[in-house]
This record gives sequence, C-alpha cells and structure tokens, in this order.
Amino acid sequence: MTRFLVLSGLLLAIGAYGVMTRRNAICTLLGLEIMLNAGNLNLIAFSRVSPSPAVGQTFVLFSIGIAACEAAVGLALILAMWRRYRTVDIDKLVSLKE
Amino acid sequence: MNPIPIAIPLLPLAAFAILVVFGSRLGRAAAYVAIGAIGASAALSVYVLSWTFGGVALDQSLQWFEIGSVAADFGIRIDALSGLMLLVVTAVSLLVHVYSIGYMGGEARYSVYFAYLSLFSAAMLMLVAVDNFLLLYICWELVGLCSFLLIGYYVDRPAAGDAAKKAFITTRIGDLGLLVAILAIYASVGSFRYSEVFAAAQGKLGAPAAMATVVGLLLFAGAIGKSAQIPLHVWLPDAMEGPTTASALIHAATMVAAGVYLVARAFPIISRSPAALETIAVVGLASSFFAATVALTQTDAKRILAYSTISQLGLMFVGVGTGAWVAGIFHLTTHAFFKALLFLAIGSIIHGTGEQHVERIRGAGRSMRITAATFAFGALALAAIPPFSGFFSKEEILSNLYSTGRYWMFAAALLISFLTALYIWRLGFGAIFAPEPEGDGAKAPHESPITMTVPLVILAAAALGVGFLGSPFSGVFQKFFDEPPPHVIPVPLTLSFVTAVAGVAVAWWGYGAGRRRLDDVLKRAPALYDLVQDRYRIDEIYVNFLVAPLVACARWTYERFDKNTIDGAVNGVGVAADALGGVLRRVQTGRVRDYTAWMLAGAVGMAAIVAVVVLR
Repeated sequence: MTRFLVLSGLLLAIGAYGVMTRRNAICTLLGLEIMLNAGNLNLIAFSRVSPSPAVGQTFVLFSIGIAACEAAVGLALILAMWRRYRTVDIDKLVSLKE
Repeated sequence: MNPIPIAIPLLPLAAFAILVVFGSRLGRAAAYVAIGAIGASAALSVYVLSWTFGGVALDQSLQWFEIGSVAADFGIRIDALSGLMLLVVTAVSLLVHVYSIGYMGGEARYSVYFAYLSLFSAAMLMLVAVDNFLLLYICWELVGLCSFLLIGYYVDRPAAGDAAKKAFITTRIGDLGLLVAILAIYASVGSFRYSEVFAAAQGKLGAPAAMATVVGLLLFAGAIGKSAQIPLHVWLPDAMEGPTTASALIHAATMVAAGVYLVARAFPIISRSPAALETIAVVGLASSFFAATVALTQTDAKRILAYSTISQLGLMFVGVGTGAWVAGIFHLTTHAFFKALLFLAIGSIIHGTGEQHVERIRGAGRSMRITAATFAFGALALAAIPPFSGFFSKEEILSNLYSTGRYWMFAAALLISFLTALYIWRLGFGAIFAPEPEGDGAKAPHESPITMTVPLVILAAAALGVGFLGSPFSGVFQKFFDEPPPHVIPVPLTLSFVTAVAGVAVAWWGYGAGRRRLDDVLKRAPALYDLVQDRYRIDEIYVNFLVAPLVACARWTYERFDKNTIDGAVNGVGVAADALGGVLRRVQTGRVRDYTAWMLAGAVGMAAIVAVVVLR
C-alpha cells in the first residue's frame, strides 16, 4: 500500500515539476497528464482495501476517458495557439497582464 | 367571498396589466381593452347596486397578513354609499373612456394613456369598495399616483411635469393627516375595519369628544388635499396641464370625489364632534366662495371649470359639515355627471378649435351645435336652474342650512349660487354662444366625431335627469340611504331659484351678444380685480414663503453636505479600491506558470490545513 502511495506522490511531483519548468506548452500538457495519473493510481490503490473495490476502479475508468478528452482539447488549444501566434512558448503569452 | 364586487375593480386592473405589457403591440385596439373592462365593471355595478336597498348588503373580509399583533384584512363592503359610488365612478369613467377614442386619437402614447385611465378607475373603485381604513389609504395613494401620471401625461411639456409634481406633493400634505388619523383610530379601537370602528365611535372613540375632534379633523385634512379645498387647493387649477379627458375624470369621479367620499364614509366618527363638523362646513364655504370669485375672472376655459369644481366641492362639504351628508353625496352624484359633461364639452371645443382661451373660442358653438347644446345642459345644471339636476341637489344643501338656522351660511351659499350661475354663463354667453368675431378669416371649427358626441349626449341626459331621483317628487335617492324624502321649504326654494336665474340674467346683461359690460364694471376696482384674477396670490405666497426657503435649504445641503461629506465618502471608497488594485495587479503577471505555482501552493496549503486540523 505504502509503495503505491509513494509512487503516486513521486508521479505528482514529477508532473508538477514538468508543468512549472517547461516553457513548451506540449511539455506542460505532458506534465499535467502525469499528475492526473498520480491521482488515478491513488484511487486504484485505495480501491484494493475498500469494501467495494468497483467504485474506485470505475472512477479511474471515467477519469481516463475524460483525460483523453482533455488532452484532445488541450492539443487543439495548442494548435490554435500555434496558428495565431506562431509559438508554443507559454511565457510569451502574457496578454492577461494588461 | 362573493366574486362579483371584487371583479368590479379587478377588471380595469387587469386591463391595465394587459395594456402595460402588450399596449404598444395592440395599437388602436388598446382603447377597446380598457373600454371592455370598464364597461363590464359598469354593468356589474348596476347589478351590485340593486343589492343595496336597505342597508349593508355585503361586508366580507379575509386575512391578508399579520405582523405581530397587527392583522391586516382584505375586505369588501358594499352598502348604499359604496354601491352608489361604484355606479357613478364606472358610469362617468366609461363615458370618458369612449370619448377618449376621439379626443386622444392622434396621440403617440395612446395605449399608455388608456393604461393610466384603467389603473385610475381601478384604484378609485377599490377605494370605495374596501371595508377598512388601511386598504382605503393604499387606494387613496394609488389614486394620487394615477392623477400624477395623467396630469404629467404630456411628457414633453415642462409645465405638465411641474403641475404633476405640484398635485402629488400638495395632496401628500393632506395624506399625512389621513395617515395619522388612521393610526389614531387603530391605537384607540384596535381595528381598521369600518364596522368595528363605527361601532366604537359610539363608545370609546367618541367618548372624549376631543378624540373624535382630532380624528375628524385629521381625516378632513386628507380630504382637503384630495378635494382641493383651502389651503391645499392650489394643485387643481394647475392640473389642467393634463389631457382634458383626464381632467374630466379627476374632477368628476375619480380624484376629488375621494375626499367627499372619505368624509361621508367617516361620518359616524366625525358627527361625534360638533367642532369638527363646524370646521368642515366653514372651510367648505370659504373655499366655495373663494373659488367662485376666482372663476369669474379667469380667461382660460378649463381654469374656469377647475375653480368651479373647487367651489362645488366646497358646497358638498358644507352639506356634510351641517349634518346633511346624504345631500352632500347627492350633490356629488349630480356634480359628477354635469362636471364631466362640461369638461368633455370644453374638450370637444378644444378639439375643434385648438384653443382654450375664452376670447379665442368665441362663437365656436355656432358651428359645433351638438357640443354647444350639451354644454348648455351642463351649464344650466351647474347654475342650478330647475329642472336640471344641480338645482335639486344644491337646493337640499341650502334648505338644510336654512332649516337648521344657519342664516349667515345660507346667505353666503346664496351669494355663491349667484356667482356660480354668473361665471358659467360668462363662459357660455361670452364665448361659446357669442357671435363669431367679424373679419376673422379663420375657418369654422368642425363638429367632433361621433365617439365624442355620443358620450356628451348621454351625460347631458344625466345632467338633466339624475336630479329627479332625489327631488321632492320622487325621493328615491333618500330612500336608498334610509332617509326621509326631502320636503319642500318654500323660502330657500324660492330664494335659490331667484338667485340662480338672476345670475344667468346678469351674465346675459354683462356678456350676451358680444358685450363686455360686466368686466368694465368689475375693473373699476382694478386692485381688487387683479388680486382675484391672480387667485388671491396664494400660489405666490406658497412659492415665496414655503417653496423658496425649502429650495434654499436643499441647495445648502447639496453644496455643503452632499458634495463634501457624502460624495467625499463615496469617492474615498473608489480611491481606496483603486490603490489596493494597484498593489494587487502585480500578482497578475500573465504567465501561466506563475498561476500554476499559485495553484499548487494553494493545494499544498489546503492539504496542510486538512492534515493539521482534520487528522490531528
């Protein structure tokens, strides 16, 4: 059990690190996906000790399905960003500042 | 509850709601919605009136709401007084509605006008139908609001807006008296219902006569405002800025009648105090005389009628104040018909000529025969020439003054009667029936359309016929109120007949056939004539001694207090928010990674709180 949780914590930290250090939007998205799977792993791990293990596993199935959608939307946004600004560097997109 | 009496005010109210929502889409059809509603109300009123022979026909109420120990009821009381008022209001209102199709035909805000008219009728019908003082007060204010809306109907005329504000504010002064009176009644009796209040009037409310006097005078203060008596009469002549049809409604059935109705309704309380009754009679007589003299000098046809209304309402208060409240209500009824008739006839002339100055409508009656004939009916009724209705109703008030030994009041009322006949026939002989000015190439005015002449003819028939109901020949009106039919007292009968005829005769001598003899006589005292023509300069006194100090006070407050203190506080809040924002905006870098870091920091923070608070 502990090992699962440690792995999940590591995955979350790696994902967060990726999101925060990478300037490329695609890498940021990859980091997000890793963080998401850290959560999924947690759900699976707890479902093993739960009296009704199907609940956690069902959650994860939904989560994976929605993650796929989210990845598609995210990639579409990046594509739109490329077409509009000719860059995928998120540090260059600071128009919200003003 | 019986739905029929409630439907009478609710039908026009429903018409108002429909016109407010769909009015602009209905176009010309808006008038028919309003007329259908008021017509149905009128039919129901006739039916309801048939219940009321012999006392209270219906007095039902439901609990509306309760605050602490104060319970407010929603109730309907149909008795002889309210049954009669319902019929008078719906009948006059229906005719004004029909007439308005022609008169207001060219207006852009056509449906708005009919919406106001419906709301006005609904408020007045509710006012006379309710069974307690609280609802009466609500309707009372609603009537005031509607008159404000109608007087200020021509929104592009500054004078109309001023007149509307003047009417609203002036009547509000009287309304304060009414409100205090109602609170005093509740404090003393513990109920708003008429039946319980009047029962108590025989006991604790009337027991110290001082209490009855105070309540009676406060109620009368409300009536002074609404019925335009001295000293709150100033709004009514200015109310002429509204459409003439609205004036007809205000003067005949819906606004000024409310004051007389209130005093007649509260008669069981007021009659406990001789002092209050005496005050009502004296104020009525003074207003009546004052307004009659002013009417004699005015040059605007509508203003003459406005002062005539003040004068006639004063006579009604004289009747009620000397104990003959049925005579007062009888005069209210006949007056409603002939005054509506006079206003609508003048409105027809204004419609035909585009003028309302006495000199400029000269000879209009020559080419507008129906209008002129109906005007003559109304003027004869107002001048109290038998057998027109005004004679019988005014005669009863005068007979009562005579038979109760109030001889100086009787003499004053005779003088007013003479002046009344004089001023209305000054308008008749001097303007409407005068020969047309020679050499004036202006085209002759045309007669008004049939939607206007038919109501005129119906009202003319009423101005002639309604008086018989309360005449010594029939006495139906008095029987309706459980009073003995009037008996003929020869002295006042003869005197009032002679003065009325004398008034008309002097008017013919002074103004007939294009003469101006009487004006020349009156102008031998120019100072007095100007004083009367300037309405005794009461408006100027109010402007100089009340309005000007108030405006100065308001200006001072605006300059000193509002600009510095209030605006300072408001602007201070703005400046502070701006400064705070200047600090906080540095957080908004626009970089996604910074936001992510803040989010993660927040998540970690929350996890820490959960760890510390929940798990420990």
